[in-house]
Amino acid sequence: MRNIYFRIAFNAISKKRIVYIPYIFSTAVMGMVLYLLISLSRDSHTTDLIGGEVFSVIARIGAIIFFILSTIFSIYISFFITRGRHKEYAVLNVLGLEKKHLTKIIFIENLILSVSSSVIGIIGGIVFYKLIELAVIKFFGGIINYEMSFEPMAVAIVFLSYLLVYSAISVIQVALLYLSRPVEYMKSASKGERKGKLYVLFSLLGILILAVAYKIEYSIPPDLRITNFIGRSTRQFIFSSILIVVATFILFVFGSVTVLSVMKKSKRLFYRKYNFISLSTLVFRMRRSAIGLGTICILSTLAIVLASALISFAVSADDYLSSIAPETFIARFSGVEGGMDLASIIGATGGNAKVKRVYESFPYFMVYTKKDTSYHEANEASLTEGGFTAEYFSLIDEVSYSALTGEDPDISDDEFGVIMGKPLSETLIDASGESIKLVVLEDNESVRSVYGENNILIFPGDSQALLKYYLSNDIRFIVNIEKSDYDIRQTPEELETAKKKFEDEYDSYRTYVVSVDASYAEQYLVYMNVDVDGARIESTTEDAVNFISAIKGLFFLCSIIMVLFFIMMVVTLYYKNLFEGIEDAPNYEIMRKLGMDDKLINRTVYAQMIISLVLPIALAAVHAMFSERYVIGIIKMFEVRVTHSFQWLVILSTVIVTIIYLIIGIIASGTYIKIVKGKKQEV
Amino acid sequence: MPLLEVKNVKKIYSTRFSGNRVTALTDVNLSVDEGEFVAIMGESGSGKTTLLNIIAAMDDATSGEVFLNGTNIKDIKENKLAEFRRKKFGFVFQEFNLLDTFSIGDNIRLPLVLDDRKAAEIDDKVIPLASKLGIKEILDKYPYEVAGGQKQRAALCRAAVMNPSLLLADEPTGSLDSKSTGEVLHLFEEIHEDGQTILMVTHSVKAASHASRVLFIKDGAVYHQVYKGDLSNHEFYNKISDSLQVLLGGSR
Repeated sequence: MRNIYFRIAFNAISKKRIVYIPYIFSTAVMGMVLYLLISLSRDSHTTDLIGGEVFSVIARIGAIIFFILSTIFSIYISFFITRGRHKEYAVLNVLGLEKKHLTKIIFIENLILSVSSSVIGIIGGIVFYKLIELAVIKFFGGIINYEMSFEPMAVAIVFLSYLLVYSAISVIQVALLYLSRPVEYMKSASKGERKGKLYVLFSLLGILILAVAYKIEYSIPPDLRITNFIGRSTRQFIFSSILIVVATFILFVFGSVTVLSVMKKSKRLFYRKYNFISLSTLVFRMRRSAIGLGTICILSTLAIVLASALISFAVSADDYLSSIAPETFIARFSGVEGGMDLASIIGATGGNAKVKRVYESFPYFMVYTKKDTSYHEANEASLTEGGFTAEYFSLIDEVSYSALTGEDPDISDDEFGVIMGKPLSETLIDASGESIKLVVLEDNESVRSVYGENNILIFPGDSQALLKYYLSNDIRFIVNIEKSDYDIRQTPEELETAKKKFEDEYDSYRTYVVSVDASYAEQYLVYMNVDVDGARIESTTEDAVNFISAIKGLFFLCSIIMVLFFIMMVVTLYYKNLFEGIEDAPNYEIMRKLGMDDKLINRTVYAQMIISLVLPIALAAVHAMFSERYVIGIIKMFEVRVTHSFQWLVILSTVIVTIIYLIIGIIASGTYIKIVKGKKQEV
Repeated sequence: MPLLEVKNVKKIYSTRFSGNRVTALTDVNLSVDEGEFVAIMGESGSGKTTLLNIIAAMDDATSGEVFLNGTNIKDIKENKLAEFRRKKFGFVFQEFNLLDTFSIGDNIRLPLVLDDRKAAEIDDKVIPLASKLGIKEILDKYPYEVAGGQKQRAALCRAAVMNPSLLLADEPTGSLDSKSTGEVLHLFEEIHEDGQTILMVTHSVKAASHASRVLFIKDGAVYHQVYKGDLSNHEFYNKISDSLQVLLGGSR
């Protein structure tokens, strides 16, 4: 006897496979994605990647967003599905099963559903995990490995999530059961919609709210970097977004019926066989469809804005990238033995990067301070007051300078060349108290690309001579203007030890600067894959890499959200078509008797699909257009110049979303057509 | 030449798995002349509806032939069949079969719209007929908003609006109360008087008594018929009842 509840529950599911299998499958896919996200955020293979930290955080945030959205969606879909079950509950109730028994059945049903979808989801997650992990590693340019990994924690969290979601669904279903009277469920299907003046009034209200929302969005200033604007604009944007959501639903519920009714009033338009059937059907069931269409419109808006913003950011980011990572890639290799063939090391990274020049770079600066000011004091002053009392010189020997620029500096043995970023007002004095003779050289692009805005001293001699000179003046600095003066903070013994250490270990500090002719992608490849024992590589590419990682992480997050939208669209459309198909099947049967052929049935079905597709996406595109001010403002916050047209990107994204939607729509309409032509059995 | 001629029609249903064969129609022969109002009577399961479906080309006969205006229905190509049905037949069903997503008016307009008629022509046809059938006031209402009798008038209006060669009715009063039944049957008669040929399937003696000729079908074959001639509906009712009592062993 106890088994009877299980049997009823199990039979209900297995008899309605057409309803439940897609449900189990879609919730399983959502569980799978959740498992993948959690595992990715915890996997050392991915978190150890450059930018992996950022990625891990993004994956974690993604998991939370994904969980919230999928929960809402699962509950929404469960309403869809149980709509068909209520009649059955009512019959069971009338036959003598009490509500507490029905409660048991509901819980058992949800238990069966949750166990089957969580098992499929987790197995799917484990199976696909390696693939996704490899894709992420490849995407981020890490080192591929083929160990299988398994995250028990992710399994636990996913199970727990299913438990939570299905408990919530069960509780809602039971609450609805207790709130209802069985007789209500046994009444026939919903009645059609009547239009009236109220509809026109509400439609106008919807238009008004939308106009206000657009006005607010458009009043956001074009540049948010000015203080206070970002907070205020964000509040404005959130407020207008809420208004847009409200207006969208009002317009779909009331406006669509109003517009369709106006279309119906035009006899020439309405009395055509395709329009006649489509318009009548649409008007009749618009209120129920309207909520679904409004949801699709909001989802599409999100997808379009997200995609446009991301493309916009990526395109503009190129601009930013080229400023921090110039065409010529310059990397500092430190800890490399002298005479090592860096060209072949770079060649071994697998890309097409060609070494243009390699030269030895002196790793330390010279600093001079004003009289009686030690480096430490100068440095502190610079930190606290922002006023520099010290100036920095990058050092380069004559030979390396030639290697870097391809030109000989025109200096004699007792002269230093100098390239100045900032004008120098005082004389430089070396350790022996001699003033240094300076020859001002012309600014040079190659030099600037390595040393930035620093002042540069070119030493007359090779790197060994420079080392000696540097050591004799003090390892760490100090060329005072008026008299040579060792750092007062160090005792002479400490200074001696430090000098010795530097001299002994110079090889491990020895730094080569390599400039490479390579595209950004090639630079990145070199940066990621260079592999020399004990060598460290630094490059402006590093900044670029971090920047790129953030963008890639965002792209990843965005594509995960897109996957969710995709699942939502497929599932929503599937059930919409399934249940509407079941409702409409008798109508089409009648129409066939009245002389409507299959070709006409197909055409009217597609006409309806197109209308219910064009409306939400067209509105979504308009919504997206008006988000321009805020989105571009946010992008500009990253100090990125935006030179392209956001509107064109919105159009492009709209086209992409429309194509995806069309494909899904056509497939889903197949279900509908099969049902209305009687090729699928009634549910 | 008769308008409709049914010759040696046989229909055997066989179930897909067991291969059991059920004979619905053994050998049906009948003809209907233009302008006639013919009723076919028989018990439940006697094959009435099967016969109607075969005549309307919605089902295939196992053997035998059906001619409408001399055209063998079998010769009509599959892709022309829907059009043929639309132009030649009007249908009235027991369950009204109105589309619940359409207003009453749009239900009636549907066959004309499917036939690509001009907007002006559509209302020129629909409005007078609807007035005649007493449903002009409810044209903007939806089927769920009106009573059964009104629904069946709307269905009748929809069937007649195309001026079909043959109006087929399947138990048109089966779902109606007696008052509505009387009204609807009266309308059938009116339409018939305007020259519409009608073939009605029913097991209601009252419905059949409005016809000009009644065929009795039993065990899948027509085996008797009575003519109304100059009899009143009431007299014809009695005549049909008597025939039924004799021929079918008293069942009605």
